[in-house]
Amino acid sequence: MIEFLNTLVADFLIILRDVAPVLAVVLFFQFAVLKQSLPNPKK
Amino acid sequence: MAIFPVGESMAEKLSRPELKGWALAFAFCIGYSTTMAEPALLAVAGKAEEISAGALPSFYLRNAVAIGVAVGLTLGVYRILSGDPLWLYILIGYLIAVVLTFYAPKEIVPLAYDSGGVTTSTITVPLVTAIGIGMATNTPGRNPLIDGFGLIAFASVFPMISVLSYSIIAKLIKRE
Repeated sequence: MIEFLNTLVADFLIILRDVAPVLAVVLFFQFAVLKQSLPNPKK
Repeated sequence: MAIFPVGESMAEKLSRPELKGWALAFAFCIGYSTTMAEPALLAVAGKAEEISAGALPSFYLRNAVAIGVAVGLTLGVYRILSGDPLWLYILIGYLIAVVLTFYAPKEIVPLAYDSGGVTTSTITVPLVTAIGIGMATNTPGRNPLIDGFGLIAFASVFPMISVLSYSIIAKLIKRE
């Protein structure tokens, strides 16, 4: 069970590491270049 | 699908003429970062490293593909803003890829050709489509149906060129 959880956490961290640059790019352009808040996708 | 409104909104705001340079920079950065996060590419690059017994490192292959997508998207966004015909860019892109094929090591060619398709997957496609439609909708004189689509084609051709170029450069370095 612990091994399974370790794998799960490790995989989650890998996904987070891979997706972080995409988020960083979007947030940089949104806040630093456009100087606007994020749009609400529900609207 | 949550990526779609974010990409469209960003493209909408970046399509202002005074932000043209930023729009190109955004296309480059988003092309590079989404490709590096693409799960299908991760799997294929990992397999390529395993089969080549480490001769083709996954990290280098992913970077070569990501640079290709980044350059392709930058050119694609430039095409939307300038209104140039899509076929011209794609034709030139494929011609370059065909010419490079003759100089690249033959074992890398199929992988280079596959990399174009592999990289246009779950993360890249929604964001890139949203950027294209957002740019074409908000740029005066552009039709979203004619100019909004086509970025995926750029993201497919240019990784072929970048991976083939990478393999040629690697071959030349090895020879020295």
